[in-house]
Amino acid sequence: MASFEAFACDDCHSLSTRPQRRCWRCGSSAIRSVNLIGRGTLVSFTIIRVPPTVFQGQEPYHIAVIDLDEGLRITARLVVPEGREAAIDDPVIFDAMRPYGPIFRLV
Amino acid sequence: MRKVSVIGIGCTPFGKQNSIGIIDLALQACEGALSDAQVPGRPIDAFYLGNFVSEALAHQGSLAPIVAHRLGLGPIPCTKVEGACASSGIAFRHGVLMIASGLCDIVLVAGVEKMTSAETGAVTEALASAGDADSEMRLGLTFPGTFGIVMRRHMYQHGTTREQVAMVSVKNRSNGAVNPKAHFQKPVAMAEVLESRLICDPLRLYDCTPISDGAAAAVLCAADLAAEFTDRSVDVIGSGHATGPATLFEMADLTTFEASVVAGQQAYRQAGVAPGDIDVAEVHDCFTIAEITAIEDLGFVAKGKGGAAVAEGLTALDGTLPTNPSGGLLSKGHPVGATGLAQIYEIVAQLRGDAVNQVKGAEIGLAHNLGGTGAVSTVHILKRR
Ligand SMILES: [Zn+2]
Repeated sequence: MASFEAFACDDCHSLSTRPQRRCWRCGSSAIRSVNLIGRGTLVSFTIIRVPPTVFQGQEPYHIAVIDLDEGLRITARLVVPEGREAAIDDPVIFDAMRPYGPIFRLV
Repeated sequence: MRKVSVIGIGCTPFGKQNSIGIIDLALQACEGALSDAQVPGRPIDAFYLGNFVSEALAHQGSLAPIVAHRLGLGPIPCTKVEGACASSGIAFRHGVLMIASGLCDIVLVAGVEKMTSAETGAVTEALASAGDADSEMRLGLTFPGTFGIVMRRHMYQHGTTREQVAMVSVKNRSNGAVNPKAHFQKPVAMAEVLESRLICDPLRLYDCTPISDGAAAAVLCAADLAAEFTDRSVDVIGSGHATGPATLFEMADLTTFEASVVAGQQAYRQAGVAPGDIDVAEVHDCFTIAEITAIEDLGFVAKGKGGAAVAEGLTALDGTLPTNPSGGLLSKGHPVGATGLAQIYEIVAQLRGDAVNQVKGAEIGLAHNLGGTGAVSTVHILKRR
């Protein structure tokens, strides 16, 4: 099963996708890396039709804010299969890590 | 702390200005403000210049000292202030602080941006640098995309309708139609907004402010000295400046910009006024949905009620809280570094009684500037003498 790396605070158990020096919530420095399965739901999303120069040619592409069941909110690319349309609260799952960040897909 | 007044304002037309460079744009606004304040020859003690992307788009750094030298201000401290789209709201704030602290008597503050000579992709990329490069912008997220995500969530969470959001554009474009300094001086119909090209679903072209060139400036002075120069001074009674998360995923609620909430609370507390006391407001409508979140975050209406408030006319010229009578960023354009001071320019004109869409008897006005993905906000409250 695919998984991706995140960072957990041992003191207050909050999660982050970034290797923070200190926990963003409680200030603790007890941060360790964890592997997440990445099941979650869509909080909101958009479809980028006018991209920055470096992404020209990839448009249109989805970008979504996702609440993971594992207690983390992240922003990621979203793959929507042909013929389907995304909606808020739809279940999504982690698919792959790319140089530009994580990709999720509609379940 | 000493009290602070605005004694002069200047603003260039906003829009496409092919024949004038970034330095000359800034000079034009500054010279306008200095002559409006009737302080030619009088020493200026410090200069703060708001700007965001001059290096990337106009290939010019060191803006503040270069502009100050061309103005003949002498060897005074000059600082460029950068806070994305809130750059010149922060420049204004720094001018206020320098006088309030007693370090300075008269301070010139300005904001400038030159954007239209660059390619759209380059502008999109430069503006996106206000977001968090490590997490969100590397995905290919843009600012219209960010507000598209906020808009979809607002509609879902609060029942805001597509028509209510579009109404912000209809209202502001109608206000801007009579503003000779605005980029767009043409009203739009609801249907035109709803049928305009999709940019970042559900955000469409007429939900977005255009890419513009422009500059604005103000002269600040210790309140007890203001009468020496002009009988049209306006007092700064509240100044707020706050930071929020620079990413969507770190926002506790995708429909609230915490920096605006906190900056607003600071400004209200300092001014000793409540949201209901504000007679006229210029808020940061970089996108239609941003005006709705702003009037909620500033406490004009409860969270989630912004869409209905706009549709019911609360924020119209003849409403109880006229918002963006200048036409807002949606009409005027958004030369990012100049926006905050252009809002101050409009509020001062309103409180002097000579604005283009004058709100009758306006005594207290508010200017709200937002930068990045809600990363920074300034709120200023001004009062007629
Ligand atoms: Zn912690």
